[in-house]
Amino acid sequence: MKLFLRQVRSLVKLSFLELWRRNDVFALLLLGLALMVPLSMATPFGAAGASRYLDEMALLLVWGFSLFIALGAGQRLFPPEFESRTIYPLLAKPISRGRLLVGKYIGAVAAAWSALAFFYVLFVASVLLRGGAFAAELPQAIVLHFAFVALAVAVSLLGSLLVTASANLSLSAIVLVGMFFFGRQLPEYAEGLNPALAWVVKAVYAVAPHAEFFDMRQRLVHGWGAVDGIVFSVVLLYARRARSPQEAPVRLGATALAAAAFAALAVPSAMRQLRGGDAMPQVVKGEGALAVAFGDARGTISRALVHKADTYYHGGIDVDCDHLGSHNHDEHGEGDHHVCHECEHGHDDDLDDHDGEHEGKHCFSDDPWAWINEHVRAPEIHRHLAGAESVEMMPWFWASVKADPHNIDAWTTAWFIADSSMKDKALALRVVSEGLGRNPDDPELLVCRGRTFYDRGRGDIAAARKAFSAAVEAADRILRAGGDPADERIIWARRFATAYLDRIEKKADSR
Amino acid sequence: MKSGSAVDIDSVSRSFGSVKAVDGLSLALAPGEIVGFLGTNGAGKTTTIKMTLGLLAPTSGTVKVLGGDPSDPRVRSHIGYMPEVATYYPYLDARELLSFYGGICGLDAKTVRRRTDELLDAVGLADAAKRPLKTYSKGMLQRAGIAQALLNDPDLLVLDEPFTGLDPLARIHFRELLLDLKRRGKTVFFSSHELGETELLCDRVAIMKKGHCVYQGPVRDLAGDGAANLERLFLKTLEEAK
Ligand SMILES: Nc1ncnc2c1ncn2[C@@H]1O[C@H](COP(=O)(O)OP(=O)(O)OP(=O)(O)O)[C@@H](O)[C@H]1O
Ligand SMILES: [Mg+2]
Repeated sequence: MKLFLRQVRSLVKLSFLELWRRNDVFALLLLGLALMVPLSMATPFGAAGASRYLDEMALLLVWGFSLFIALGAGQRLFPPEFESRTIYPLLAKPISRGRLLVGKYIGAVAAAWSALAFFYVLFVASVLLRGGAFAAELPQAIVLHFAFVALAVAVSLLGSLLVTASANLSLSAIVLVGMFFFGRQLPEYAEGLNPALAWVVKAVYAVAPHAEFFDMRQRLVHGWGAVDGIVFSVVLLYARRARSPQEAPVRLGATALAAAAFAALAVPSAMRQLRGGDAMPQVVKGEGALAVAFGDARGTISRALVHKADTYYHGGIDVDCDHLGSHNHDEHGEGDHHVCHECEHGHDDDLDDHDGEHEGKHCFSDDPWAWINEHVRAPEIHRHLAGAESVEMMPWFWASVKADPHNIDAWTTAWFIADSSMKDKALALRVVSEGLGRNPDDPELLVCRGRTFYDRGRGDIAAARKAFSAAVEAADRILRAGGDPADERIIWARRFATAYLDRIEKKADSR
Repeated sequence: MKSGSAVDIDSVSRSFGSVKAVDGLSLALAPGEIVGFLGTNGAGKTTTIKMTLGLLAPTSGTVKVLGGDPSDPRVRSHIGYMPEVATYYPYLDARELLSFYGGICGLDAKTVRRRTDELLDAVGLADAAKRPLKTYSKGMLQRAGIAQALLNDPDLLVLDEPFTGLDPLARIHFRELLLDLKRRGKTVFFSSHELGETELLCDRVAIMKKGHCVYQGPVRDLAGDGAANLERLFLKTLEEAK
């Protein structure tokens, strides 16, 4: 035993020296600083005070970096020994092959943990510097992250013994990242597939390493509180078992299956896309395919960022996850507050009044993995951002309109949050002005401007009237110029502006 | 097995697919002996050496080392091995390399430090001890390899082409070091293409050709008449084995 401890200590030191002398950690640190420092100085639309987006981005980076470090550390345990032929003197030393494997694994995990600890120290320091505080969930989140790193090292160590370095790194990364972001949605995904593929996806769901169990980022960012002790232990137990020599090969097999399944899924749909149909009319019109693709990507990113802000509004809960893929807004019903034209239906007041309306658990079916996810990744209570706290959403809107300045939804939603939730007239007007700067004479934005000026009849009525009139004119101009007369946005904006103008006239008459 | 042999290779064969790297080799080393292992390229020397360390299993036959099975780590704790070519961990310095291997051998920190100092002096790396191995020349790496093989003060030293890359001074020094080990009762088994060095050092030589051992015995048996003695023996044996 003493012998083994000495051997392990030696192997830990080896991994340590290698990791810290490779300068990977410092390169990542520089990259992280290069991203975080400008981000932390951002004041979206001139509004200061948002901090959750910083926590979120920093945690995302810490997770990404830790995965990079862990996969590298696992990959570098054996293949380089074979390349440099140092494996022979090593195996000729009085250490058994089993112990060498275990000792090297421990060494790599310890080294990767040291890097992770370093990143967390910086993370905590940055939060404290911003005047933030941490609740009970931080130690738990860190422990689960450490467990994840141990799992990732095991995955890449195993892969390194079976396939080439690049194949192993990309495969391990795809599986772990894929599971991290989409693992819990696999059962729903399977439902829409043909039986054979569905079976494959379900098999992957059953055995692939569930990286998502360890993800407490949203709990940290949105302050959901600690995970139940039993669930926490179950996740640790899962990490322990998932990297055991008996189970790990099965999981790797599942990894290969997953890759095959993804390929099988991706190819037919890609073919369908390529064959055209609705997807390509712009190309036919003579625009460059690249521009179309790029434009599409910008729009998609922009919409995803609005969705992100929406998630923030719901205290970190992704309310859309029960209709994956089909973002059918008709299903939204009452809980939806988004854009101006929906606020028409009585959502003008405090957004906070439908607390508890959504059920946080609706995303999950009832298998054991779902049970874990439900407890780790869904909060016990559903709280909405309200009042000044709503500034937390602003960075996401800001990013959204940077991605696509013509995403009117993003502008109007940002305006709505500033105007109604934060009750910050100056901010609301600034959002609208910037929006109009990029989208001159947009009727919707003009209506938004009018409403802020109008301020329920207590504001600058003259300015409001001017904005509403401009909205009506703009809508008419668009229709005259051949705009779609069934375009809901224009119709709505026009109707809304007219209604406000009526109200203003009546008030003036009654005086 | 012959009782008391340091190495006892008994009718050992090893194939790689259709290639018979070693074919029915029997060879025994008495404790305190220095035996040189000669042969053409691809004759099976490295394969044999790997089998004496348990790095490769024989296809048939048995290998006993120091009375035990070399695949047993306890047996290996009395063996020192220096491989043919190895690029040791480039990001370590020589001192760290030896301290790493010392830990793997299970030595305590104090012993590791003492042995490291001794060996760095012995192989002439004391001045370069703080430089990363990636800056080392070929011969310097070879010296580091010698040092790591001696770390656990082994009873049996197995060296695969130890003279390659060493400068003349280092060779003389290394020869002295091996003779000193012999005086202390250690057994040395080394492969080499350096006939001069081998002749000066060895009690016996074994000559391999295409997996077979074509000669085993003392260099001096064949009436010595000068420095080119082993060279003549070598060429003659290979010629006869055709
Ligand atoms: N891992 C292996 N796979 C396939 N063939 C091998 C392997 N190792 C050795 N051989 C073959 O076995 C034979 C003996 O090789 P070995 O390395 O033992 O020769 P050697 O006597 O050490 O030669 P050299 O003087 O060049 O070092 C050669 O034909 C070699 O190609
Ligand atoms: Mg050889």
